[in-house]
Amino acid sequence: MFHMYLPIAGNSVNIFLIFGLGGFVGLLSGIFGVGGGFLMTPLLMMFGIPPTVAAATDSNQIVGASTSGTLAHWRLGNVDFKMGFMLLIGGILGGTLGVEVIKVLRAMGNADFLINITYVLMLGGVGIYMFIDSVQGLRGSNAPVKSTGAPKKESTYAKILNALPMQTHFEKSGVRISLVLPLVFGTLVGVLAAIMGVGGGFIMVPVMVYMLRMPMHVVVGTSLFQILFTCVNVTIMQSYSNHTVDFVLALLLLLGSTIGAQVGTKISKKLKADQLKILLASLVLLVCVKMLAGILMRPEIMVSIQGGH
Amino acid sequence: MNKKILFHISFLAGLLALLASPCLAADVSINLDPSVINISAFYNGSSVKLSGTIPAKAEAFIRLSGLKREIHLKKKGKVAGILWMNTGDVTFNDVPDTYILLTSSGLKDEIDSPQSSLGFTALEKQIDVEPADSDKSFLIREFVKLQKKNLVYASDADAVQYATAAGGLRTFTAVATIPPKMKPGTYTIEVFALENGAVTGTATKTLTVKETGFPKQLSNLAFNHSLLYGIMAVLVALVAGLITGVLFKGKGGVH
Repeated sequence: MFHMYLPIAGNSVNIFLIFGLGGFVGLLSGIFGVGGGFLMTPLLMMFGIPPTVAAATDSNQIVGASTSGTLAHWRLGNVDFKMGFMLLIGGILGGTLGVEVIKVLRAMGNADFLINITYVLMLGGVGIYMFIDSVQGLRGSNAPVKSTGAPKKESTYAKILNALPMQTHFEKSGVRISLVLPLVFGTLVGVLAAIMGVGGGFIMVPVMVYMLRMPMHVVVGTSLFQILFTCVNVTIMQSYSNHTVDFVLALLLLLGSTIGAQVGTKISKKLKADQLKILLASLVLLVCVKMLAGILMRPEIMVSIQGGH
Repeated sequence: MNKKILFHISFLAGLLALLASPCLAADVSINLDPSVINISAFYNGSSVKLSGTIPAKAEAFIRLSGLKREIHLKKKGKVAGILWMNTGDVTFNDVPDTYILLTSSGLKDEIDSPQSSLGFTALEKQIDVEPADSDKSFLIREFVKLQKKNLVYASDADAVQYATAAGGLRTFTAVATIPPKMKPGTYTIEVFALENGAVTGTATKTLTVKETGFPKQLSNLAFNHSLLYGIMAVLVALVAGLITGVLFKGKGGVH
């Protein structure tokens, strides 16, 4: 009675369960500026959705959640459109490059090993660094927002930043950096995201905080803005080439996630930058531990349908 | 001379046995109610009532299978001594998407017995695995576990009920659960009458699962007008996001 049939996924789901799932992931999206694919895709697979359909449909859902979230953050003055566009261009270049890299890795035969190791190392490294940094931030001068700067030892990094050409002022972020920088980092994140098969929000957010030195609240809004465009592209491409977007599932998720994103933005507004960072770091570390457990413990079933990790 | 007589006798006996089996086969029948399952917007699986006849001394073994296709799987194994990861790709040819076995307690062993030509081990003969040097029976066993988790492979040794025999025949009934994950298509439902471990007769009917109404229209759009479908999916998501954004603003939540 409370089930709906998903014609593309070829299974039926409980309406309220999916609505709740959308709400939860949308909430995280609004708080941290991540798409939440690294949580949503495995959860959908747990409810019997094929891996390829879960990933593609999640992109469709993120379009809604990030529209809702971007709008809310934009009203708070937290979206740096200029920076967002540069990261987006880099992200598209990186994504295209990443797909080619994956092809080479697959041809070499050890793609899955490399993907898993990259995943765990990235999550672990980013999580631990952000965690330590935000704990130090909370302990030390409790100055809000602006205190998000990089550690002091990075002065060489600062010199390199200043030496780069095309220095531009990013008004919303309050930084003056080279235009090349967001382009390069956007590409890098794009490559990694394509290799790992994720949206890359959880790598992009730390990159914006530590490499581009943007204030945390602007990072969240700008990340959502950038994710919105990436997911529009992925949804259309997946629908067109692979027929893996389930519109009914996306719609059920959307109902929850668009509301979740709004509530998340309100929570985000109330938290300090370091509090936000420590929460995101914990989340990233949690996913890292889950991934590690997944590769250290003997799987229950020794085969899986191709399409997921 | 004696040898010749012996040959004639055995030939006649063989002929009689051959003539006898179609007779028994005619005694075996199966009916489905319904024989067509419609998938509508709120579909969450269904069930089919099965009934028919078998010889009075036989037991019934029912097999629902269908939609044979090629499937690509990842094989898992240990890497670097401690890490469990995908270690290679395998392709299964002619794998049924659904394989549901229903019988009564007397034929319980047929379900998993390596000697059975009807149960899960029979899949080993049907499925062709590539690369050929793979550990076929291990991989198929693991695949069966995976499909059982999805409910599209299943077995129940208490599913078939019998009525008292009359005129050398007895009636059987069973209910087959149709999981929501069973794809639209045509499936075969076979009943095998078994006596002393040997199949003495079979009967077959087909079951059709098809989409109707909203799911049918949406599938059609997704597969035949995929670009339009993609754009529509994005637009609906954008509009939903905007509407929620505007509604929340209306409540004065943000400044």
